[in-house]
Parts: sequence; C-alpha cells; structure tokens
Amino acid sequence: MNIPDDILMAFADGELDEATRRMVETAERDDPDVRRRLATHRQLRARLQTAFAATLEEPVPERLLAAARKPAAPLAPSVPVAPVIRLADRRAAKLGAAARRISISAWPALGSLAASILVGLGLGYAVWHSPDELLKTSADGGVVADGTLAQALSTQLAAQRPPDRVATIGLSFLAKSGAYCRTFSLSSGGAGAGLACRDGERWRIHLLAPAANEGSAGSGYRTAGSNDSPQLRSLIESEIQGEPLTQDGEKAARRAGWRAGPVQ
Amino acid sequence: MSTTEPIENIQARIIELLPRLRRFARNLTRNPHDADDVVQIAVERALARLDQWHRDARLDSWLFRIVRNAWIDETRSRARRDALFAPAEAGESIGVASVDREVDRLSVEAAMARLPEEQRSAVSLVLVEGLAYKEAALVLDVPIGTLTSRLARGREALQAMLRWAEGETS
Repeated sequence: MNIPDDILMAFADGELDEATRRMVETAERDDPDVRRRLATHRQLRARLQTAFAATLEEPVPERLLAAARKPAAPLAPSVPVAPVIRLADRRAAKLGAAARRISISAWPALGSLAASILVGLGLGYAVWHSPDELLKTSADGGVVADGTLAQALSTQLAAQRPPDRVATIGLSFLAKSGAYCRTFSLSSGGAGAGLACRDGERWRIHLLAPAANEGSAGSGYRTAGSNDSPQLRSLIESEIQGEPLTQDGEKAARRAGWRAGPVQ
Repeated sequence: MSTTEPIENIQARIIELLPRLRRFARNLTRNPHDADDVVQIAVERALARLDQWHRDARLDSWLFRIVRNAWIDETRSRARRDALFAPAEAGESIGVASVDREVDRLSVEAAMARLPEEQRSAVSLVLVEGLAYKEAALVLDVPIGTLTSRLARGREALQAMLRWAEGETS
C-alpha cells in the first residue's frame, strides 16, 4: 500500500484520527517500506527531543524570573522617552515670550507634526545656529531643510558619502502619509539624526534628535552608524509604509523630484 | 476554567514555563542572548496584556506566540536599524551564513539553525515542544495545512542535512 509521507509524519506526531491510525498500524506491520519510513520520522523526532532536552535543565537567569514576578504594570513605552522641546516653544522663548517649557511628548502621527518639530535638548540650538544654515522656518511656522541639507536630501543617495557632505542619508521610505521621507545624520552643527519628509518642493523636518551614543566624545569622528536615535527609529517604525526604498527606488524617486504618486 | 485566576497563579505558571520559552526562543533566534532578551520582552508583554489571553487557550501556546511576535518585531527593527545609517559600510560584516561545502559535521542544532525561520519554528513547536498541529498553527497564526507543509519541508531538510553529515564521517 502506498501511504503518502504526510500521513506517516502525522502518524509519528500522533495526529491521526482513529481509522487512519489503524490503517497505518496495519501497513507498518505488513510493509517494510512503511516501517522504514516511519522509523525515519520517529528517529528524527527523538533526535530533536534529545538534542534540545538539555536546555530545559539550565538555570533560568534571574532577570527572567524577576520579569515574571513583577506586578503587572501597563506596557512601558518601547522607546526610552528623551526630554525634548518643541521648537515652537523654543521660538517663543527666543522672542522672550515665555520660558522654555520642556515637555515629555508622545510621538504624534506625522500628519499632525507639521508645526511641532521635536528637537533634542541642546541639539536644536547647535543646528539652528550652525553657520551652514541647514534649517529655516517656513511660512506656516514649521521647519524645513535649507541650503546644503536641503540639497543633500534632494540629491544624495543613501549609500553615498561625498567627502564634504554635511549630512549622510540613512534610508528613504514612503510614509503612510504618502510622502517620501528620508533619514539623515548630520556631520556638522552637532551630532544629530533626523527625519525629513517631502512637502511640495521642500523637505519638512519632522524630527531632529541627538545621536544615541554620546560616549565617544573627543575622537573627533563619528561613524555614521553611531548616529542612531531611539526616537528616530520609533518614528520610522510607526510611519513607514512597507519597506525602505532600494537604491533603484531612490533613484526613481529622485528623478520624479520626490513627488510621490497618489497614496496606494 | 475560572476566568478570575489570581495573577500570582498565572505568574507561577509562567515561571514554570520559562525553560521551555527559552528553548523555543533559542531555536528561533539561534542566539542565547537574543533568546533571553526576547523571552523577557514576551513575559513583560504577556503580563501587561493578560486581558488579551483567552483563558480557554493554553497559556504555553499564547506565550510561544508572544515570543515569536517579539522576535519578528526585533528582526524587523534590526533590519531597519542596519539600513538606517550604514547601508554601504555594513556590507562586509553582514556575512550571510554561507551554506558552503565546509566539511563540518552538522549537529542537530546546527542543522536546525540552517532551516528557514518558517520551518524552524514549525519544527521547533511540534517536534521539540510537542505542541499539537492545531496549537502550533495557532501560535504561528497560519492554517493547519500551512503548518504541516512547513513541518514536512523542515523535516526533509533536516533529514537531508543529518544524513549528509553522517555519510561524510562514516
């Protein structure tokens, strides 16, 4: 009798109904081929069981026990929340209107971010006042990329590292809002990373965050990879539509002037 | 089953399950440190979302599922993080595990580690953790037919690798 392999596997796994199981049992008795194939499946199962049994005997690390014992608490945010200031507040302070208010802010959706760029404490000042004029205020009160930063965002591919660059582009993606967005890390004006999204002919800055690793101060060099920021990562996670653009995708988007088609 | 099982009971049951969660996570992540990280995240998530656990579902299946989802989240965010700022330079260090002709005898663990994630998790849940097809399909959020076909392919691949390894040394 020719019994398909999936039936034999299910038999070895104890997953067959009564009638089919009896049928296989009979075949096992009478058919050496079935016997041999069944033995293979049982043997594999037994080998796997044996190979991984030892793991169960290992002592469980204390941190896992502690996690299981902890009194139930509401989900902690997956991203450490860094103190940020809203640029709008900072501008107000600049005008002498109010003292700087530091707010611990949840990340609003990109769409609602138009006028509320979040700037890492301290960093914003450095970038704002950097001689390169990387940012400027737009008419609606938001912040857009200017000068060399705007140029880099429009022209540089993610993998490119021109020697005199002011910014390195990390990745490009289509946001849920339908706009192209690109992450960048700054080589001047303070070590920071940010997210800019295309808005008409401009690159609107949605986030500017201090680099995560401030440790290696003094070396004078920062690798691009160290300019990583949990806030930025979290914002990308929540806003990205699909996967980041490939280099071909970036080139196509660049050719199209970073104008995205209608939202799919 | 009571729907008002005290949290202390559930926590005690989770503690009992920790060794199996670690084992599953290790097969999934192929790295003991990642495995413990993922288990920790999963335990925290589970305790914070106990209200989402349907009490007629098995606690172990539910936790396996959270472990796997936590790992999927982690791999996705790592892929993005890797792409984030070092797309060109990272190339050399991200060596894809080469399935070359190295004559190293494959242990069961090594053979398992070479399976694609889909097959590895199916094999791990059914053949190592001893879950029924129905339970394993629930953990992986796939129909039973998908589970059994992943399982069959995983088995075939394991057999082939182990047979090859043994043939090589005998």
